[in-house]
Amino acid sequence: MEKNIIAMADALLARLARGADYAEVRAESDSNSSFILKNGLLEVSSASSEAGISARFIVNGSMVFFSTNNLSSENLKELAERGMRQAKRAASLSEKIALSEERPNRAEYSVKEVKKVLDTPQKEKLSILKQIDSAISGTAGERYLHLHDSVSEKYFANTEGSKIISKIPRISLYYNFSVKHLGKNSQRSWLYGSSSGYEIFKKWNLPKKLSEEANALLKNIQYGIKPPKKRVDVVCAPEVVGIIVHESCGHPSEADRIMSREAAQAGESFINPEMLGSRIGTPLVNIADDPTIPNSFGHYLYDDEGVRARRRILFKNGLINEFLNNRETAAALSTSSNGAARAVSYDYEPIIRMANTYFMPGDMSEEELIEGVKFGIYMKNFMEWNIDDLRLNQKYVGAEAYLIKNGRIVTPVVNPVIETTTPKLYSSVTGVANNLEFHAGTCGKGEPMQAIPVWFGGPSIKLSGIRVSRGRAR
Amino acid sequence: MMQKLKDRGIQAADSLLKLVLKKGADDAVVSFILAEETQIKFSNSRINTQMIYQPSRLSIFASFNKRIVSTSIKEMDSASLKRSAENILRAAKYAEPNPNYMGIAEGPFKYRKDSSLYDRKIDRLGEGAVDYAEEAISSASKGRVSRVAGNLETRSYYEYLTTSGKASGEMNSTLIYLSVRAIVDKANSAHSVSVSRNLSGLDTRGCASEAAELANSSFPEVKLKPGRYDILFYPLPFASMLELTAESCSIFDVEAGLSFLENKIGKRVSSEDFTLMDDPTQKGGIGSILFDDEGVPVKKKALIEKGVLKTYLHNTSTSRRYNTETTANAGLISPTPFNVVLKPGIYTMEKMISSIKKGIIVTNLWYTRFQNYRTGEFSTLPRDQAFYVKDGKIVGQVRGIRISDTMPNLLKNVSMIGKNSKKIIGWEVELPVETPPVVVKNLFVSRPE
Repeated sequence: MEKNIIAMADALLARLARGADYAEVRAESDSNSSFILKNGLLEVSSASSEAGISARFIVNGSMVFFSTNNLSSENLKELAERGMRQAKRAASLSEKIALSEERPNRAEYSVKEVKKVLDTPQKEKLSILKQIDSAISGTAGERYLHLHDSVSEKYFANTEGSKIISKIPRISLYYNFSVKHLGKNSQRSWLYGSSSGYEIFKKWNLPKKLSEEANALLKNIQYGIKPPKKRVDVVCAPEVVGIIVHESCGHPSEADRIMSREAAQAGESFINPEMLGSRIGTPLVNIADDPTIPNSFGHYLYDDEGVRARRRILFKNGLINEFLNNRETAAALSTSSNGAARAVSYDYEPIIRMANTYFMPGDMSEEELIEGVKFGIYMKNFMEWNIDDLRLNQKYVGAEAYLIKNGRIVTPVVNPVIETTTPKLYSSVTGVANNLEFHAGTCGKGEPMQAIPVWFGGPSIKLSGIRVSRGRAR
Repeated sequence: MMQKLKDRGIQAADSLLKLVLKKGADDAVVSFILAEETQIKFSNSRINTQMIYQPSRLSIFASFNKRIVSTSIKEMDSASLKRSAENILRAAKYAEPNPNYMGIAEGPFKYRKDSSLYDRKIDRLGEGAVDYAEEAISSASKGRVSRVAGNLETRSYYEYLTTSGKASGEMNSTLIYLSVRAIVDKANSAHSVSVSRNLSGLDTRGCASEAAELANSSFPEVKLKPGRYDILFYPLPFASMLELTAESCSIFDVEAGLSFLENKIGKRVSSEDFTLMDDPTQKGGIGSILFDDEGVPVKKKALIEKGVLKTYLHNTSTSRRYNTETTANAGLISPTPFNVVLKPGIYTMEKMISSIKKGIIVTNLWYTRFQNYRTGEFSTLPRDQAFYVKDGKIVGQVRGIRISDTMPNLLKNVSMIGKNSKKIIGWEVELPVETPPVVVKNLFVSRPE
């Protein structure tokens, strides 16, 4: 990271320290590139580089955040003075924000890249996209592929003595394609993401995976039958389990929702502070969120408040166990931050976010789970999903899905729908496999919107006696 | 300081354009944006955080023999600009040509003068914004409302654009936006927004009072059975549906298989009194601008006129491919709507409610997701207060429901359009939309068992 931007951030911190009870600064330098391929044609190659500084500080309990990419000392000084005036003006109306006491950290870390993002030739990146496109062009008429990579170098410092430097490369590949058969069509959208170098594409093997997905989707509309409309057992594959835990465990465990700070934006939570320790599901339900997983899309070792990251067990043996906290909510709840404060880039405030949320694996194999089902559904992946703003009422509609009869997968099923509530869903978990997988997503929260990289996942799980309905209720 | 930055940005944009043309670019568009935004976020009826953002940007789009590159640049000194021009050329060398790319618009162009898009008072509001947030909190804290959350934002933008097609223009705009959610408890809440290009257009008290009044409305809870219901959408939730409709008009989405309006030009897609415009020339329009991303003067156009789909949205390149005129909706890669307006109808809210035999009033929506973008199969969740209407009267409150249907059905089943429009942007609605309340018949409503 360039030394002069760190010096500017330090000078700004020193200035803020003179008038604030607490202050922190973040300086960031990012390089991004992206490529969009639509129906086999390269629409655009984009590259950008950005650098900027932000600061957040508290005066008499009144909090102010500012960010800029105009790094002249004159501008930074003016912003600091303006911010101070604003903090004082609003002090009588402010929430009287306090931060939990945390140990100051000094650290420097980076993610190891075998095939460095910045050194990988553009030609090679394009060739990756073309190979994926060719693998599905015979099956899928319309194809949209978006490859994005970034390298983010970040400096964090606060008035308590924390100084942290990090460098994290990230790569993602989003796709959407359509398959058609005799007037029927079906679509698939998904994202792959990782913090790593370009070596990750070998591991992902996307030409093979997408080609299998496209073929399976085509078979689904060719031969798929209507799903049963009754209570059955449902085996959800890791991708479906991932979205379930993200939506109905991770989000309601965010303490800023619990404390109503996001009420006018991403909403609140069905969980209250006093629900810690109360039952939410069967004892098989264990869900964690862990930013420290190497090469994960949501990877970091220190959060954007300088707190060291660690694994959080949100639901443990079916009980609500721990919330995702930043320093503000931790102080309000008389606990410590568990390092969940994240900002998508320097120019946004850090808020409570998930990193990599997953259903913790059990002992059975996926085959054993399926063998235990007399009549039910195997939901491999999904398209439509949503959940209410308290995180109770949710819906998942299968894209590639199959009927299970007497412990065997027998035929494709078209768009089975699970529409249930969080306690019902987790109370129906009767089997947990050991095939842990992670999937990537960009999670939306905050105002302005911050679409932040996360992983979510789990092994396959069995839900017993879940009511399934039909997708096309029209 | 702002004037100095502006001058520097304009100078950098002009020299970057010259540099890339010298490097052999066939087309180039350079834009410089100088922006400042402020935000006051409140929750639990107190101010939580005040924010100031300065997201200025110099960016360029260029094509070299149909090889298309775009980039943004952080440094504006002459050495950095030279380096950027070289990087752009290098990136173009490795890009593949896109035979579908057909160039940018040829100017020069004249732009309209529009003083309705900028208000110096917003630019200079500064710490005074706190008073508006305070008024919003106190006006919404009525009756059983136990806490108020929301957001007050101001935005001030300057944009300069210059192109190899001899387009050159500049534009100043401001905006003030208030979002208020009044909360009685987890089961009773309401949301309202107010947005304006000028300070006097912000209806702080009206917005907060509407949220408080709705949140305080109390009826017995009704457990609805899944089935078909007429839905009366308030402007806030219907704006979200119109945003999805207008975006599906982009030719980019149509070609990518992401539009439910594919192959529908000239066909009936909605009821006869349904006319949806994209009007970036509207006086004081929240999405009104002077020129699109390639410098073409924007124009008013009907997307859907009297129920018939009239046009997809084009830029110069896509319009040349389809032998039509640009609709002045660049997006250089993906054409985009700017300021969506649904033509108001004749009905009062009372008349609309009284016409419903079995229906639901939806005051807010969130989390709309598609099973299939082409067929438009989607579901969405009513958020905040929703009321059950039986034989023309509100008789209950409904919770925990979901609208699960298709966008083509939603448009076809529009049965009544209100007469009082409202300008909307919001957490779920990024694209500015102006719409009255609307009744849609026979939408499928589901709920968990």
